[in-house]
Amino acid sequence: MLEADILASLFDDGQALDRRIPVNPYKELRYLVIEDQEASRKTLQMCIQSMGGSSIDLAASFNDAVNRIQRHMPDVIVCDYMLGSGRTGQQLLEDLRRSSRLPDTVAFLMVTAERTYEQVVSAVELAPDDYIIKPFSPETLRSRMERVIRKKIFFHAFHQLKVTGDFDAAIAELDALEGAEEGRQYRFDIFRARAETLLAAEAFQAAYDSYAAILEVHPFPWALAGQARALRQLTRYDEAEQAVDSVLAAAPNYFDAYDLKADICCDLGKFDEAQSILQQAAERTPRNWQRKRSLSTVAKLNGDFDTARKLIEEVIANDRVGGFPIGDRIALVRTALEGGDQALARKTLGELTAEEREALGPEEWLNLECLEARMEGGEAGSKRFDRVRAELRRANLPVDSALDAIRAALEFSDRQLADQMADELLTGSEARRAFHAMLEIYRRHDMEDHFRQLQRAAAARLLQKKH
Amino acid sequence: MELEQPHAIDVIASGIHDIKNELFDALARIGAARQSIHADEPAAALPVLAETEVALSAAAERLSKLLSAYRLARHENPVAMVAVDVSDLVEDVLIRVGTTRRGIELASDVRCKDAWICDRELVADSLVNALQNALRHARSAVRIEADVVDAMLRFSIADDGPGFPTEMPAHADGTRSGVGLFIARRIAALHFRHGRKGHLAMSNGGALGGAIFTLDLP
Repeated sequence: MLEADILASLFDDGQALDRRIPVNPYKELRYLVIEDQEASRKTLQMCIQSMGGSSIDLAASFNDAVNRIQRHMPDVIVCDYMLGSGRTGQQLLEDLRRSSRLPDTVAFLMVTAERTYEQVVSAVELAPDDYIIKPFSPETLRSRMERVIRKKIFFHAFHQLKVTGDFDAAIAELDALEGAEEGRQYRFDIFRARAETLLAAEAFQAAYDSYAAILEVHPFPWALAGQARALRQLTRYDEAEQAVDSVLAAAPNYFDAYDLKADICCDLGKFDEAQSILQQAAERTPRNWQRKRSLSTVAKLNGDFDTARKLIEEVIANDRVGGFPIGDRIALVRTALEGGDQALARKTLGELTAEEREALGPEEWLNLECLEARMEGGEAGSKRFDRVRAELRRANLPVDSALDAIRAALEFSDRQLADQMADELLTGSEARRAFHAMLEIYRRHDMEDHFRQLQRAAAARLLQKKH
Repeated sequence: MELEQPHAIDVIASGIHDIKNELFDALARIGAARQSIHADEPAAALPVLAETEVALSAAAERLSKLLSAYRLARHENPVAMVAVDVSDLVEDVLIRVGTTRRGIELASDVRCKDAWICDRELVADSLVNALQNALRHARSAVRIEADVVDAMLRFSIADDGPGFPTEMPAHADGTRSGVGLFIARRIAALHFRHGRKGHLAMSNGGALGGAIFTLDLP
């Protein structure tokens, strides 16, 4: 991948003055064309060649594209929206950017004959750098590509800062860019980038205000969604629900917004509704494995272990490109165990290789230990659980893992540990999501009253904190 | 006031008629090219094939427009609002239209330096159509301008041709069908922001003395 200063020098006409041979900047870039139809692939290749591009990699499918990007990161991607087998370039873009496998510094241009794609771009939070409607001339491609690259150069420092997580510096960089002369043409992009960065930086009130300013200009669905996310984090759940409802009203095919709505419903303890919403969205986007994972989690929180298990099995069987196979396997062990299917749980555990076990993160390892201890049961299980008690006390586990730990603690009669972890969940941000599941766990051990006491105590402490 | 649905049907049927003619025309040219090759004169086939390509391209472009007209008439196309750099939009339009047109000078003046919120593709389509029409009728000069007037983004395309006929030009795009105009009117009307709607105007006169096409967007 080319450095910004090299890119900038290639595109700065002034720099070429002292060279005898004119430099064609497009010659220096590395391209990836993603298109499932061979004839169209060749056309795109020729189009780029006519611009002077020579280093052009070709991918014929979604998976092929992912592999090539992983092997050698291109500078510019030109991707067709329709990629065959029900996959789209939009899904590819979202998967890659969200899993950090495609940096913001790499240009992504979508090409499509589908006019309906405009609606996608105008609604979603993750849009390509530009899109072009087919048929188009090489000159159009060149002019669009140049604009995208110039914008990348302009925002390069900001992207680098954002990637390192230095959000304060990233925002400061945006402020500086806004004041610059060239900043005028990128003003709107700067506003949008600022709002998104504030969200990432967890400055939720500031993010909310930023999105509000954008909404004054136009009620963009992605800006409403941004506000909904901010409101959710500010625990203003009812307002968040209203905001996400207006996103869905404006853009009913904006599926990510259904995920957000389901999350908000979980926050409000409306698990049935959450499951139903995600179910509808998953039916319409059957190859979106991340959505199916979310649906599986929600089904679990809703006590529907059968559905949860079926979904996670489907994901494991089909998602060749997803980033969290171990997480899926652990989820399957969990749902199998909760659904009473010891055989499946054992089988799944047995499939874990030694390398995979070596590669487990500390939280994953703890989670697995809790599950395995319960499966072993009796003396052996108790001994296994003993070994991790101390670490569990210190650990800061995600909800699913924490619930597994509580189950194990109660099973092995460590009420103190169970209560400690329950209390952490009850006073944390995931309280509403986890409440139903926790209640069920304690109920199974005939300790419902005890749990309710815990809940009241936690609520009282939270109230005191507020004052 | 014309009823929209029947009008759309007339417009679309008329467009289909034009496409049919263009396709038969292309077929005839392909036949002629084939004959040249048979007669061992392949070089003669090349210019004919080039003409065929132009005719097919025009037919494809017109089909695409008809599809847009159909969708707009059926309200299947809510506008896709994005922030658009006005200079970039005009540059895209100029690229699509092409710069060389039998001795006609095409000038542009974009005075709006900021981004505007509109449906980029639909607006570009109407401007491409209007510009092609202006180029078809101009004597020697066409001018496209973009400026902010009364808080609306105003695109105007003027030519030095004979101007619009006083009888309402339902077929202002230079052919029998009025697809282009139908689409442009719908697009203007679909842009509704801050309590104001977009609108289209056609007049004669101005600096170039010919037709002036104006598209105002809120």
